[in-house]
Amino acid sequence: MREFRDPIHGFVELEEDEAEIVDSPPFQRLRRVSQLGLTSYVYHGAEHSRFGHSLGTMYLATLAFERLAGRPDLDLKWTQDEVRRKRKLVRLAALLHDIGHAPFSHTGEGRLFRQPDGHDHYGREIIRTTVVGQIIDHHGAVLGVTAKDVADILDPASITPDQFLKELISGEFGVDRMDYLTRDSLYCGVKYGIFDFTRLVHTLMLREQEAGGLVLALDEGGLHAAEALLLARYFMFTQVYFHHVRRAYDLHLTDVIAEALNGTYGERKYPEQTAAYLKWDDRAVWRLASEMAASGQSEAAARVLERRHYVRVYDTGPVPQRETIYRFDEMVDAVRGRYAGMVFLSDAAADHPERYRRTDIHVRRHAPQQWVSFAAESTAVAGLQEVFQMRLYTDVRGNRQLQDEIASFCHDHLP
Amino acid sequence: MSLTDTRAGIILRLVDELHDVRKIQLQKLVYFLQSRGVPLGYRFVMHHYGPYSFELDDHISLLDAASAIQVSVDPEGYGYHITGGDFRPEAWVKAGAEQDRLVGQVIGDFQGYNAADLELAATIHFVHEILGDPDEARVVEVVHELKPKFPPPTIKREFQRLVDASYLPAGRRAPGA
Repeated sequence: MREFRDPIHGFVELEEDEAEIVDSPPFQRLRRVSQLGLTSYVYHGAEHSRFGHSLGTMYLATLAFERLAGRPDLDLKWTQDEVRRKRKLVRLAALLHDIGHAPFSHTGEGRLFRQPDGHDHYGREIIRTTVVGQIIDHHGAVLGVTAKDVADILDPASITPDQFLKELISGEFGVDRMDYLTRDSLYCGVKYGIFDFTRLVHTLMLREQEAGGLVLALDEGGLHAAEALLLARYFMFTQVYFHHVRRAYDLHLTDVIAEALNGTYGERKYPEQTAAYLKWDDRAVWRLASEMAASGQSEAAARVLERRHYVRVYDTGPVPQRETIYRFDEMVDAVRGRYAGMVFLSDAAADHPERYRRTDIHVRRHAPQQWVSFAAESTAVAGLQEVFQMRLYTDVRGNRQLQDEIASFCHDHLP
Repeated sequence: MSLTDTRAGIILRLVDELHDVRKIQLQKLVYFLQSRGVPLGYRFVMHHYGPYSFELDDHISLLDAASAIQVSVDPEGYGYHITGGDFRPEAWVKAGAEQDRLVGQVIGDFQGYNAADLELAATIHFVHEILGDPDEARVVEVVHELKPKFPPPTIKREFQRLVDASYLPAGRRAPGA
């Protein structure tokens, strides 16, 4: 048994196969993939990597699964062998759920991948085709767990009888979210992401749907912990993940990586071959960015290295008015036409994977015994609206007059 | 993934025709419209109640934020239901009208279907697509494994109905069937 000392969860224990996976080059690469991209340019403590988060997610997945499997009020009818198999499956899937992340995590996801499911595609390929899959198949034979089984749990498009395990890891109240909200909060030095995830894990339930099949549910004792998770998600999104300076660097860094890819392969997309993809991590990008900036090849690289980001000139706030939602792109075109010599970058929360969204989960009430809807029962999050913030950035650093002029033009065009 | 005029128009058209529709049902109707060739480009995955598109869910929320529709909690059940809003830009209305025939056809094909019926129909179709030219028996087997409360004869009947309505090609029969 190998142990890792984790800042959130204390000791995370790994079994023999898991330790071999963690020692493998594809997993060690996660030490060189920052969890939050260039958020450290705003919150300088945010230098943690996907490595720790992957271990933490596995830890919580195990806690949650063992709790569910052991609940006396759930008549699951699983044999001991089935329990052992599902436990191993969920541990491996949780450990490997982020193994396909690109440099700087979500930076550039909409532009730099040729596959619609981006890094998840590479994650499944790494599991299936590299040493990681060989380790799983070698050790998993005893329990009947294969690399394909693990990849299927991480594939939203796959059909598997263990559908609820997908939700346990990646769902709206899944352990992935529980870990990263808490972890990101700690490393950023903020308190927005703190909530009682231990309580939430202990109150997770399973419910059999009308059509059959199990879905994740909640005991009423976890209602407030679930509300706290959603509040954490909302505030972490508005204050950290969608911070206007952090997002400016996401846009610049995407350009840097695109230029680096173009210089390497002749196109602005990550390579199709998994082995070539695995060579890309944060350090590779920093090295190329330094070379491109030093040679004068890349303005974007210079901006990132020297922390000279574009400044926001227009910001809708978290909940834009309806005309703004409808006509934002039109406004951006008008600005580009009016200030033709300048470069404008636009950004939208709608494109962000961590955008706060409404969600629902079944809650089991005790008096009377009945299933109810979280969305209907919860009052604390009823007032939260989904975030559709939009922004426009340009290079007006040190030119307050021009910044104000462009801002006025935008506001004249839109409310 | 942007909210194009076509996507917005289709969603609004469906909501306007149905007046009050559960989000789960809207998801399935859009799924079938896309299967009929309407170029929406949504990626569907298997979720709690059959095929589901997260991008479509985002666009439903965006239209709600724009007051083009109203999404409300279903106080008597689970999830959300959708009614019409008052924001109706011409481009969206026009784009929706261009697909009137297909929207009407899909609504008609699944008239009287409740959420469970739609779940079954959409799951059958989705499984058929995922498995790639399976025979009918294989589809029934996989759907029954995913949704065990639907007995195989019920699944088979719905499979045949989808074939008759041209949502599925005539199923290959398993050897000896």
